[in-house]
Amino acid sequence: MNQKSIHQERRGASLKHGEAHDREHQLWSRRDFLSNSGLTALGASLMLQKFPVSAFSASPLLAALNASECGDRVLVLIRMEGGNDGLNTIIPRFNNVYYDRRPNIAIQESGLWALNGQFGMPLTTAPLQAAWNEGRMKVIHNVGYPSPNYSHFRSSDIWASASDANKEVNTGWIGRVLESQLPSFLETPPVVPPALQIGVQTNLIFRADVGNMALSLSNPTEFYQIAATGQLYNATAADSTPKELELSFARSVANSAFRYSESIKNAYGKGKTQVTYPNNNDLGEQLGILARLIKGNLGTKIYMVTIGGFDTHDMQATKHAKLMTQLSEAVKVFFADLKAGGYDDKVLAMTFSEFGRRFYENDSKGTDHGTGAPMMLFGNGLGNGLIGAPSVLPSSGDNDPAFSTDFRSVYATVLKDWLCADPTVTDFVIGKSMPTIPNLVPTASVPTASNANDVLLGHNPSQTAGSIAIKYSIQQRGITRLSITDLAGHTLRTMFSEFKEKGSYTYQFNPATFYLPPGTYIYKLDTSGKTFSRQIEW
Amino acid sequence: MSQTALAMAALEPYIPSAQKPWNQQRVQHLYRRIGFGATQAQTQAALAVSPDVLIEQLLNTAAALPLPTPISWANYTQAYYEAQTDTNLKYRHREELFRRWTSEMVNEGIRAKMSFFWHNHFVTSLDVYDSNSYLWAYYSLLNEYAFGNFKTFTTKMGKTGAMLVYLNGNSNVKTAPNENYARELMELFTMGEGNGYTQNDVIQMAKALTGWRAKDYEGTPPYFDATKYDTGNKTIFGQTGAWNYDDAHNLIFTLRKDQVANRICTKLYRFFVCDKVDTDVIAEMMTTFKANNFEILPVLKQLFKSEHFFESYFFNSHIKSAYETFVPLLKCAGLTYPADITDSLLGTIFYWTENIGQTMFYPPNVAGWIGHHNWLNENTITYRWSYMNGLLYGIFTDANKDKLRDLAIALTNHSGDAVFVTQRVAEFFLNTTLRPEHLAVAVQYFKDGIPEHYFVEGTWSLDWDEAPKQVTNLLSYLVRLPEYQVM
Repeated sequence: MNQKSIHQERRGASLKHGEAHDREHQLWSRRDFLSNSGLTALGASLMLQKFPVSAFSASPLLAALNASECGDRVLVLIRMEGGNDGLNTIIPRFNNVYYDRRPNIAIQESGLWALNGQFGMPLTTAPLQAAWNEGRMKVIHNVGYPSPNYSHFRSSDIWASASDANKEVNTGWIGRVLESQLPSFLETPPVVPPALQIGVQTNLIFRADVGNMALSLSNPTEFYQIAATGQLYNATAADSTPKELELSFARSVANSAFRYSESIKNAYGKGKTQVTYPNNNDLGEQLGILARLIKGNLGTKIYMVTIGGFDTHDMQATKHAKLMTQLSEAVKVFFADLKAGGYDDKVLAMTFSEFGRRFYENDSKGTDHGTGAPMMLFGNGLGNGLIGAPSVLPSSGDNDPAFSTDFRSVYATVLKDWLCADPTVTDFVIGKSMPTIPNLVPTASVPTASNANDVLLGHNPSQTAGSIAIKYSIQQRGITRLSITDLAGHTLRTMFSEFKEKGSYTYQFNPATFYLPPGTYIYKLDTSGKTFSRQIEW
Repeated sequence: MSQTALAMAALEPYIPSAQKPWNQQRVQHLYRRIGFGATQAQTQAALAVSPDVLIEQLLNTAAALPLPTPISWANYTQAYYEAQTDTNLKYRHREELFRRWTSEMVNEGIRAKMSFFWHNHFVTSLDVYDSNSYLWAYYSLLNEYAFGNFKTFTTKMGKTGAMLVYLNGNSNVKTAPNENYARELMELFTMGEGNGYTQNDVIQMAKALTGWRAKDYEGTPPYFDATKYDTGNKTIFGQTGAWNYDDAHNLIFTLRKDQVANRICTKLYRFFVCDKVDTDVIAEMMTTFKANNFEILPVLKQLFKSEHFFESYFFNSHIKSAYETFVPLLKCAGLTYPADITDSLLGTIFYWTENIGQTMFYPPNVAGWIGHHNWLNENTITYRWSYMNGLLYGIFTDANKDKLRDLAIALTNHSGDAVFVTQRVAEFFLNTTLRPEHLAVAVQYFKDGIPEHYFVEGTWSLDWDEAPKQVTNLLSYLVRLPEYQVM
């Protein structure tokens, strides 16, 4: 067979012409092929060439982050879906406008416990009183954004994407944070989910350019299946018909491809539930799962749980009270559970909702969509306090009060002070530099600004065949050089060497234009006197 | 034809009955296998006619399609490209064809499916022959004979530039016979490995095939060079004569017709019905194939019209190839090229299929893609999830989002019941009923965070601005299910 020699000659020629698709497909001779009889999978062999076994190992960047003091900190987002009524959550005591305009649903002095002389919370939230008194709870007043949107969906998206109200952004703030930590998420997927969500699906908050960064579990039942069996699907075939056998095959492949199953099963098995969670409390059940995973050292940094039903257009008194009870009991028990395992210092929980509600009630003894609303934070070491300016209710007219604190300031603060994100990364994620809120949350004693995390480097497969998107971000302006070397470290090509402002960049690398044949290489970023490198194959 | 079919039990025609009704599931099973799926309108239209009439019509239409309109560069030689200052032109031209074939899968479907089947039978790789004019001629022949006479098809295939270069027919000359093509002609393309030929037959066959040439670096048309042809006697299958190229093919198709029929019918059966063969059915297909002088169309008609093909245990028993993973989503949603699908998306699909192991015109070796279980492994399924998600969020943007709304409305008679809509959309795209635990999850995806009371009160409807995004979200879940990996 002289096919091989022709092939080799040809490939050389075609590369010279910049062939985009002319990849080196392993051309086995027919005999080799037969001698590999049964061949695990033709596809697999080709794929393994492109995606090394290390594709399933943990990301070094995430490991670096984990090694810092911030590394074992966890953020739990509690989404109050539907638009939580802020004024019946953090009640402006003795406020005439509040009581006048909510004749049926305002919470009276007899129905609240005092946060301080001016504000209180409904008695249904009594389970939180200890957290407040003992300095494990903060409230940020009247959080919102300019030009408020009253649509559930649009406003949810604004909160998730952290965009301005007049901009549509298709990625979420958490998605962008995680992508900055895992720039080659697709090529070197972590074995631990960077984020985990239980509850309502496909939230924009976790979406990054490369896809959804969170493992989304629709409900606890789905979670228990994975935790108990380490499998996504029950792959047992019901009978031996072709239909059942092939479906069973597809299920078993899906099970083994589900790369998080092992870590979840292990963490869930290792973590223990040490308190009794309330019955008939969905949020409690979700938080119970989280506590077990956190105590089992899963390693996931960001979780989100959801409690729905806050769209209280009617019969608010009953509905909202029930939700407040569920929320308070769930949060209380969750932290008790964490504390029993010694993990309560590691967790910050933060509530949010797409908007608050009108300051006046409607004809159905409910409230319609409004603007700003309070956010609640729970965790050891927070202290207590009411942060920011409360809503100023208008003495006449129906105009919604303006918000006081931009939600993106809260995000920025949590990113920098709780998750130890570099300020530049934080600004990049939020899309602008937002003022942070001093002393909102405990800061880490060791900032990570000086470690390798301040330069990000990785590549994603481009949507354009033949071109690879190399992403990097530099924290200091200066001469930046991107080059490619062979495995022995010899520099083969320099893509650029030029002065760059600090920021995040994507370089479209087309190997063919550099006359580089397929193979394994290293690409290097030199900046600020440091060198960062990654392996690459095409 | 019909007499033959009636006389035999295994391929009895399918006649709808209470036990085996002609319903959406059977229509979709047919369309998914014979092509790349059906739109809602096609499904409805199909239900209004008998399966017999429908299959006759689908196959006759596909078989009667005109030859592919020659592409602008159909005859461009290597010399032409070398004279260009744009060194990438050759590759851009190729990409044009990659996109074109994919668009034919979406727009037309049935001939595209069949021609792609033959691409994986008469395997050549562009990697090796590296000529655009040969590429075009090869592609054109696959389409011309997709439903035609298999013997003529085979005879013509061996004279294409692509095949002459790929399997060294080109260097098979009187003075130095090269057995490569002769062997694969019998082993892979007609009779099957070790099935009715000896090593001596390979040697003798190679001699008979000498003389056909292609200037492989130039891409000029293949030709016969009498000076390279071995005029001597050859003994093939025990028959001695001064056999030439056509004689050699005649010997195969007369003396080894059972082997040829068995190989081709088995391959068709495994591709269209089930990987595990039913020998009784194969035997009937073979009878039809031989009785019709190796015409492909009658075999397909008999197979698709059979009760056997429509047995419910074959539904969803075929592991999807890369193209079968991406194309049906577009097709079933009612998208067409170029109205709704951009060149850029088709280019992206090419890249995706490449990454999950099926690069059009670049099969891994002469045996082609093995298919079946080889399509799925940990890597490819993960990439399928990721790419399908990319496809969903890439295609159902503003321009196309109402396609999904319209589809959901058509499937449900404008229902306001989120559970019902979820069920119907799932059935349409998966051709099976969701397991209860999956339905519960799917409904959550479909509700997409919209507060529950809108569904309870009945204020929600498919007319809402959110509806297209809801269907997209539902699809993002459905395409991750193992049920989506089979058809």
